[in-house]
Amino acid sequence: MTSLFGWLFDLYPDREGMAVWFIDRQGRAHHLRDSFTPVFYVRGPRQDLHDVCQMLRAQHALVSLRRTERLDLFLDRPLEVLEVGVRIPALLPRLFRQVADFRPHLTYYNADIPLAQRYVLARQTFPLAYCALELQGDRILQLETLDSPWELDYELPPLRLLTLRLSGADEDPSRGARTHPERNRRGDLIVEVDGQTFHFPRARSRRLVLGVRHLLEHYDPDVLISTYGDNYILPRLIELARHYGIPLPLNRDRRRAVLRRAPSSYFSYGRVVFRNEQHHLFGRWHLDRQNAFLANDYGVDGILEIARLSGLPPQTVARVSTGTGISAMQVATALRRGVLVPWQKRQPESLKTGIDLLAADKGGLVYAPLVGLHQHVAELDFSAMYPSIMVHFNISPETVGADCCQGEPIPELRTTVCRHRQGLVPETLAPLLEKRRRYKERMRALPEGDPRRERYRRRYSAHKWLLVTCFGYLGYKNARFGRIEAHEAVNAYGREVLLRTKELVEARGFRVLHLYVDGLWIHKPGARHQPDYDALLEEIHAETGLHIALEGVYRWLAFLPSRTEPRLAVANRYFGAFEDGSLKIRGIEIRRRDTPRFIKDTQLGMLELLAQARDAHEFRARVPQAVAYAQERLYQLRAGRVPVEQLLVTHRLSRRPEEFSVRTAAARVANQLARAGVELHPGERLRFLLVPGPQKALPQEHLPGQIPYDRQAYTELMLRAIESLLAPVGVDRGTLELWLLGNAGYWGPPGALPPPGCDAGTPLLAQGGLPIPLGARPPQAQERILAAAIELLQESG
Amino acid sequence: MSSNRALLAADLPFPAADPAMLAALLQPRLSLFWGAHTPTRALLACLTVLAARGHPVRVFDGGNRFDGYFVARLARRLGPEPRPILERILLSRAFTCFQMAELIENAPPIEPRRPLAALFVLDLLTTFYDESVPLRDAERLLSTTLAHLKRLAASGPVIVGAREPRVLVKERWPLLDQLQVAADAAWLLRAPAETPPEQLSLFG
Amino acid sequence: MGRTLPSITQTFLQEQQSLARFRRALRREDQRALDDLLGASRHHLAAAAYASHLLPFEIMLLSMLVEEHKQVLRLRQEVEVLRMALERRLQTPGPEADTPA
Repeated sequence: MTSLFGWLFDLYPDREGMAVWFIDRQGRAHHLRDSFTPVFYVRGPRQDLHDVCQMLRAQHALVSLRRTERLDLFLDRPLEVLEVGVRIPALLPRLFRQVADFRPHLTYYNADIPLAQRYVLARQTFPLAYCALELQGDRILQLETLDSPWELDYELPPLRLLTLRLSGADEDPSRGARTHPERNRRGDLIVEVDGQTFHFPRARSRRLVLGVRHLLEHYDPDVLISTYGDNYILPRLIELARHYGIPLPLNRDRRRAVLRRAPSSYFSYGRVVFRNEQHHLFGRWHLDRQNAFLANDYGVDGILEIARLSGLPPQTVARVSTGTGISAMQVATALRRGVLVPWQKRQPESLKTGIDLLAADKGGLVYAPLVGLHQHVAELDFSAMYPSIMVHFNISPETVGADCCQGEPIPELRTTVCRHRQGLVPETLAPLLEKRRRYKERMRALPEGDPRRERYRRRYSAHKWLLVTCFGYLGYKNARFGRIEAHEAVNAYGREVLLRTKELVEARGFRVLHLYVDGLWIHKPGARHQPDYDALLEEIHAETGLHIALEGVYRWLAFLPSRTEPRLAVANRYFGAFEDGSLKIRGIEIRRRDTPRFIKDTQLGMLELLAQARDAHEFRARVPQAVAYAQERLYQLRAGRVPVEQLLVTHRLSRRPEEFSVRTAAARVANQLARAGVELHPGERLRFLLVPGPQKALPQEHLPGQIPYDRQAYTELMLRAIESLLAPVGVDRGTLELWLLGNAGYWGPPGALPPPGCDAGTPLLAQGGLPIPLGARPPQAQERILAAAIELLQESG
Repeated sequence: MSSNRALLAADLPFPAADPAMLAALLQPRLSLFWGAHTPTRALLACLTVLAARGHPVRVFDGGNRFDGYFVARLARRLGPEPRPILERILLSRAFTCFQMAELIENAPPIEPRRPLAALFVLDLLTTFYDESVPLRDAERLLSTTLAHLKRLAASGPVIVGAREPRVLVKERWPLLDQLQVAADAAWLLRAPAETPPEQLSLFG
Repeated sequence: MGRTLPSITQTFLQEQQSLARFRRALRREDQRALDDLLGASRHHLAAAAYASHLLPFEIMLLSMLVEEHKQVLRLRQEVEVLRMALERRLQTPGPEADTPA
């Protein structure tokens, strides 16, 4: 018997049990095994359960069968169920399917929980936990976890990384045909490991495979980090290795083949999401930077944090949407409580009247802000509002509408929430909210350059995504523990909290400029700095029970009008500069994924100039500079001097190429690629250039280098982006065109004469005067009116 | 009263506009309205008229399109107070075919009281068309569900709306076939309340 | 998720569409006035959504009234300002001193 200390690194069903990999302090990998009997449950009439047992015994299935009791969350009582324990974990999915097909009308539970997650929960551990093990050979006798997922500062194992990427432009190499001969060939393979770089020309493919094999064997990396590894590099390597008959040890576990998952598209929240193909390794991780969902936001640090919290292995976490992470956490809570995890979502909505539906089926409060330029505006935001509501008001599938106790009435709805036991969802979320809050506190206390700041920020960012998806999951049709009544309750509390806050701030003399679900923008003359809001935040916390923070005080803030209805603003399009000069931008071109780089940079340049203004008046004074800058950029664009890489439009395919009915630019591009043999899935991204002539658009993959682009089309996009920034001070499209494209109209919109004393030779902008903001009237106009009124009076006698 | 009926016929969609139809629908049988798009509007109008006349209405919505404002507006036209009419409509939404099956399996039989209660199932098949549910599971589940619907139809009016599967999803047509076979009477609605309906006689 | 009822924007649009025949028969200048009113009703969509009023058209009318009244208040104020300025001007004559009130 031996002891081992190390981190849980990888795990998967293997032979009769589970293969479990640990990495010790010296960085050595240990391939161990453990036995494990995962279970699923069946509920139904006695005869049917008896038949199931007979069927399983008749075929000598390696199962343990017993009757037991478990809790149903929705029915809120214990149920008698048949527990089927599968001695060989790998056989569970198949065996379960067999039973479900045999008696489809029965109700099944705990049927589709990933085996890796089941194992770690059963052993009370989690991926990347630091553990103490007792071993007999390679068999785990005992496992003790010396770590907790709620630790803020935790040690990670020493990991050796090997990166794989292609040289040349950062484009998707799987997009087949680079048909244009002038284009560079696809890049060569570049491998980096242990501080060294290795370059393998693609033309010498046999050497390439041998070289990669050698590196894998020599360096024995723990993690492969690739760029386009999932959909190109790994499949190509595997193919080449097979072609040359060279074994390629991508897996540490040599007995296994690399696990490939095919690409797929699915519909989620009204959008098509594309899941690219995946290649998972055994005993080693493969993470593809291009295929990692949201990993740009939180990186590997965030992925490992989610793995520790959810119990899912890092390779899985890196590729699934974060919704799966929070769902796994809920499943973990359920298993710990002895609550059954439903397989097919059966529990329907309780009957409600037409009146109830009208009251309940609403979202968060979304106001139309007051259009225009404001100054000294404070933005207050509730931190993680919906998850906080779930925890604070105890909203969970089993607590809403429960009849176990008196319960608290929910605002606007005719139901109550149980308050005397903590619900499953609040129990899952509370420690996560707490951990997030503590990271935030720590980050604030750390000095600027401290390396821990970035690590904390990434983990905290991962938490944010987990929490954000939790609310959606509460109402999601396929969420195991989703319930529409709970979703409606959270929305009702959200509205109530925001309205009470509005009432409170208005009573304190503030004017509400905008309200949006979990945030509000307020103003009071004299309240210009952070400390002016401390007391207010306290009061709001006392009144609502939720944490609210000051996002910042804006020096100036612009709410943008709608393009079609100039007097109305759009709820989520604004930009502003905080006291410290930093910018907050929402909804305009610079934040949209489809906008070309050159136009984003132009907006950013203009904003940086405007950000230096300390109030609305200075903003207006800086407009001439911003316009001059825009003019310069526009000139470059129209002279054909912008490199095409900066003009690519990005578009997310909403359907397969053959399903397009109108020939939009995106449709043309999709068709061109399809004709060149590239397989495109809904949800995938296209990048293309707008070109003159009948073709209209060319996909990035077919660009032969610098070619002429459609100046007219890009000018249009550019003008729209510039207009977004200047509309709050009353500059409309017509005026903008005159300033930027024409030579005239210095005083203002056409049709108005310049006042006396205005030097028509010099542009008005340079003189410091500006177009009149919406609603105001210039002093000269008032004079004229008075003069005219006097005349009238005198005439009439 | 008759002037109200004249108003009713003017712009209400079929079958709400036709008193003879309404009377026919109130028999204990399974009536199906289907088309390229699910005839939810038509059925909403129908159930509102019934609720206005005092019939308790139970609605299982499988398409998530119960337009409460449309019902309220119509209720306002049919009587001075829309609120009691809306309170007489009991609704439950099903977002998966398993939830729909559960609703129908557990629905209590329709009592032989006057005014007679009616059960409406809006957009029955959409949740069964969900590609994440294997076809054979959907077929099996639908078959059980239809048996329960027929059980309910034996004691009172059951009115079902459904749509055809999308053009690119050919494999799901057998589900609509199953439903058509189970129905006692079926009407194909071409476009929302514009052209007169074709009755396909499916008896037995 | 959920989101069974049409959104408040859609609901207002439906109400607007039900006014199509009335609008059509109006003269052009009257149509513009009606459009102004309809546009004004969209200023209070959030409050209308929260209200969940059975008959959204009633809230639409109220929203129009609120905006109209705001205009009235604004105009009243402007008239006051002009009136006072005018009075001051007439009492203390400027360059036009040769024309008494």
